[in-house]
Amino acid sequence: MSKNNNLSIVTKGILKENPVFVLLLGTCPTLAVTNNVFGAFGMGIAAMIVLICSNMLISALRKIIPDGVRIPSYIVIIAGFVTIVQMLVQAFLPELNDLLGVYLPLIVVNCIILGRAEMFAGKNTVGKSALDGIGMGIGFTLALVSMAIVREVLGAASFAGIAIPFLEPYKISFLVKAPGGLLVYGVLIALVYIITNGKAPKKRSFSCEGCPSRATCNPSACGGEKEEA
Amino acid sequence: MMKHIKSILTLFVICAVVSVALATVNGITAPIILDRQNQAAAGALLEVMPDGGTFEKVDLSEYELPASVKEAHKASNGGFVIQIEWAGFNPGNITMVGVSADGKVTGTKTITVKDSGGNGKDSAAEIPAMDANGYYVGSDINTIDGVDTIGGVTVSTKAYRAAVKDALAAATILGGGSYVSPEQLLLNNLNAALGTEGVEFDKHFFAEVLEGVDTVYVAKNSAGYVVVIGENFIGVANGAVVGGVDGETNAIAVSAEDKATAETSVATIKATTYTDIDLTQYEGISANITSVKVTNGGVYVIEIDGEGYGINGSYGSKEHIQIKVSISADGKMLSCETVYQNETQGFGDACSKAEFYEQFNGKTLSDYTDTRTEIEPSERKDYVSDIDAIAGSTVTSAGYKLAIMNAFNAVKILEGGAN
Repeated sequence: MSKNNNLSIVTKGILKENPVFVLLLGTCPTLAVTNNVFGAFGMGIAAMIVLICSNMLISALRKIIPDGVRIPSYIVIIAGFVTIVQMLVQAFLPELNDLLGVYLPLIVVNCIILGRAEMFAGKNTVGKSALDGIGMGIGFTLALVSMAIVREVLGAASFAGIAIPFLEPYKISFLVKAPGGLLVYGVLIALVYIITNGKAPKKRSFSCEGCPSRATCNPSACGGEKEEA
Repeated sequence: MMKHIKSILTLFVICAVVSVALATVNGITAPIILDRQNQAAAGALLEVMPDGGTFEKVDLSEYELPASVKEAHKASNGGFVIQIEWAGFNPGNITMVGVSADGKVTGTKTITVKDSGGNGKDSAAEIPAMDANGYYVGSDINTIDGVDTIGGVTVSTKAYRAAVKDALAAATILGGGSYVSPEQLLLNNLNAALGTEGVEFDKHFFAEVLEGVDTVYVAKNSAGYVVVIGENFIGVANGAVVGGVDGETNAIAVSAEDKATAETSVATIKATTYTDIDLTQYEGISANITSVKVTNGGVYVIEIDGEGYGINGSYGSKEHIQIKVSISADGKMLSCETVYQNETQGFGDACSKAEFYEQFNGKTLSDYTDTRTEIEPSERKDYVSDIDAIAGSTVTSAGYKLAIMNAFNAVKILEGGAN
């Protein structure tokens, strides 16, 4: 593993292949927890821990797990790590647990985790998978936090729960509600596209390879070709 | 075959390893989580009883407590924290009440407020403010009824006060004492007066003039009547007095005067006959009057529809409340009760409670300043200014009063007076 290669594995998740703004994965928690910076950061870190651990374990077991039980095995591993994280958060960060509510256990079905397990960890070494988890986790966390900053500061005139009094008369309450979340999400997707100068990977460049649904979905939708039965 | 066995074994081993990992982490975190939950619960308990020390949950199944009591914790200082669920405007309000060992409220905290609305005030704001201000702190079971309700949110605060009283009663019982609710005490007095046990009673509708009598109860099993004169309950069976008790179920010797009054009253009730009046023979009587009967004593018993709010209707709808009144020939209301109502729960249904409709008993037309028998919907608020209207239910209150004014008017016409 060259240093450059390792670095690119980490950095691609931050912007070029950002799971939220480029790959459009994990939209549900993105919209749900980004009305508060503290909650968004907590969710990002929790997802990152699960992502790193599950990537590493899945990578380590990739030659042992038979193809036929690959997805169930991945789900059990991911669910195990999510439950461990949930129990730890409940025990040591109860405020964060209350803030994230049902979205914490729902990390189990976060597309980013299963997607990276299938697309990366299942095919790469433990080290590379850990770096992929770190990169994707940082990208996910940054995306959530950036959305949360916009929504909380402009929508609630506060930052991480700390009031910003001079913004109070100008706050746009709509932004902390679900439609406001969608609006901010759309604007930030467009912004990332502009920043990357439209060079964010086209869907074709990462194609359908590794996607759990590739055998059943419409191939033209993501630029791939449907597998033959 | 081997492929399948390998798949099964692999998945089994993964599940087993994950289970062991989860069990291990759970073993570490579960006591911490439980400890935090206990601390949080104790924190809430200490809010209403700062001197409570430590708390132990009480098994309520061993006690007969008011239905509103949902949970209780015994404090190390001998007091109790009682959790009560009560209904004001809406059901589902939950309040924690701290009760000291000497039976006084140490604090209240409403953890779930479902009530909202009021007349110029909002109970959703008033109830937490009452908690914060220690509104009931220091009250005991004998003084709690003397604590004022808050105007504008009368329904909520009255229900809240009753709930706090339930908590005080529960604390008394849990502390080894005894408490008899006013309803149970009344039932005990009625049975003791009549020499019965476990019999239920109906309040008698006064369709005749019974001088010197406050209330009459009729045993549902036809065992007899209990006539209430002042504080005394006097049982009458087969036309003769069979016993009497004071308001505390203690037997008393019934005076000759009370004996005569009770027996005469029951004889009058039994002898009362009713004659239907054909309203088509009269002009000017409201079409909302559905039935008029006259007793052999010359008292009119009138059933009449009132225009309420109506749970299925809108403001000004014809969804009705139906009331029954008895008015003597000289224009005095002897009795008033709600026969039917379909008003919004928590608001207009207060009209079905005796404390509302009994305010009209003993009144004559001259007791009211506004005696109109027709009003515009916009005039309802002013129209009810001379009665104790239901807070937040002007439409229902106005509908009630309008019906009563029409009943008075009908009696005037039936007695040959001018419309």
